[in-house]
Amino acid sequence: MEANKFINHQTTEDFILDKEFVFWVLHPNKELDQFWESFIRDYSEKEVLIKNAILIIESLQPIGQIVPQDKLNVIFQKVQRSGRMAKFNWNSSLKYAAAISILIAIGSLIYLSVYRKNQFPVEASTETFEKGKVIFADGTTKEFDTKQTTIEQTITGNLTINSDTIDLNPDQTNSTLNQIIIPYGKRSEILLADGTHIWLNSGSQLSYPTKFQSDSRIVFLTGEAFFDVKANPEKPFYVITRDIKIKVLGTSFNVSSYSEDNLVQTVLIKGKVTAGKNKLFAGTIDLIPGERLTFDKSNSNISKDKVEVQLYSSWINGYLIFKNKPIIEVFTKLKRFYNQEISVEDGLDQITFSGKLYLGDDLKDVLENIAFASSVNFQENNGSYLIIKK
Amino acid sequence: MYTFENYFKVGHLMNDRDIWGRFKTGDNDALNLIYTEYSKKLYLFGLKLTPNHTIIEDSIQDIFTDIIRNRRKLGDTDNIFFYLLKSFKRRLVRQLQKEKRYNLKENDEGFVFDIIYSIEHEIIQKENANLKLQSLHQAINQLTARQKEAIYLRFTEELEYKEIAETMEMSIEGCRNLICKAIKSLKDSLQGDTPILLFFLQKLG
Repeated sequence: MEANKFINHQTTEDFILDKEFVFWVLHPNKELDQFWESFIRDYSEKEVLIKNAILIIESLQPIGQIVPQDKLNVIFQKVQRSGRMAKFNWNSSLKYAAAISILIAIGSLIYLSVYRKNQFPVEASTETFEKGKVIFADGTTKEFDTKQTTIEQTITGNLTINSDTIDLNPDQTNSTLNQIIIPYGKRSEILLADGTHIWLNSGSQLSYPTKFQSDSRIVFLTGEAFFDVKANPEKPFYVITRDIKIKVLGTSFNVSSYSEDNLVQTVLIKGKVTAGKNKLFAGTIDLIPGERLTFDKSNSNISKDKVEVQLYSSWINGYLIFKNKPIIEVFTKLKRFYNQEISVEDGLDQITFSGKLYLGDDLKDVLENIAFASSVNFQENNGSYLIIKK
Repeated sequence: MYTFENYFKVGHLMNDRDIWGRFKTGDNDALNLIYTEYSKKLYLFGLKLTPNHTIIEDSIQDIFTDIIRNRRKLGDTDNIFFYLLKSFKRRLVRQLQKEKRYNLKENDEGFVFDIIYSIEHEIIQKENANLKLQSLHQAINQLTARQKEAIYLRFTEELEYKEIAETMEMSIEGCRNLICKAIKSLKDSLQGDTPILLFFLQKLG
């Protein structure tokens, strides 16, 4: 390695944007370490630049990088098998039911999961190919298929899913994260070892450590969840989403932070939380029960107001409550919950809904209830729905 | 650049071009190596675009099924990850756009690149994290989704500007500017005016 290449770097950016410098930071080895150590000694005026460059590069690395290794292994087996099969022209034959039975006869169910219900000319069904899963810190996964699942973490760090115990690899370190993924159309209830209760809504992901740190309890959330945190003044509980960070001592609250939504909301049901933007100078706001904190992604504004908490937490009990809710939002919630396509005809956006809606097993029943009680109706077409004027 | 430490069959370091070449001629050990290394990276990239693991897994399966079927006809490459990523992202995004059910607003891309950085954990760990770190943390949170994606491809996956530009469908110059601007803003955050920061600092709790 030639020091000459780096002598001309005058700023921190010069180092950060240098491919070889980045390579060293990401893949240190004895040889490179020695080179850079002597470089810093010889050009001590550049030491601060280099230290800052390393800080930035390291801070930009992602966390929680675990993959479902066993699932990937299964895929590899299928892939190898298919490599030996004769080529099959998918596009034209999929339209015909005969092609479907041929697929099943060959036993290649894998292809069914690629061309899902939107393309199959079959009756609408509530069957979905998506399963919920837990990805453990060591890469193994456990899938579950029930619409509602209970996951419980024991003191030793083991997990039970719907009462099936899963023994985890005991030499996981403290800082390793496990991840629970709930696809659209499903819900899950999680009980952590510290007694905290979490309800995960459709389309959400929660990352939590196998073992909490000694001075704090941290979880990461994308999507929506309801938290009932076990009080522990020595170990504050943090929920981190992309935009806001919430600190709790012991309390019940709902957080909604879907990446495709414009607003991130936290509603406090019981206890006390302190919340703020995930940034410096985030004026922290305290919430008391009945208050909602809203972060607007479009203008980065944070605000607080009083709400009826039932409107935001009833989903954990299987029903939704609306009060003058615009039609688009109502059906967005239902789409997520049931994992089925629902579109709203033009010209209906002014309509709002109020009332209690039970989330039964079948979306069709729910839509019939809505149609019965309001000025809209619905049309069904191969598993997807269109909301129209009555 | 050497990707694998020990390619056991040959017993010496090999680069991407060689491994890909061997794969193309039917070497299944090479296929094994490629799948083991890159299915993981593709999966991790996919998770930044969507929580839908079924779509991610299907896309991975499609990509590898395709390259096995057509192995002899494939082009050459110096960067296997980039080669696979191009098709993977295209396929994944196409699926996401079809599934564009949960976003009733117009979102052309079908996804928003989302990532949680290691600095998040650092900040929580050390509630008294020095001001420098907190300032950097704020700057990182202000990066746009495009900047985050470009940064991931450059500083985690170490792709070339040309490759990043192609993956993100932008010009090479545009890509370079995007990354430079982002990095400069992060650098600037480390040179905050310390006395004032101390005065206005509010901590959680």
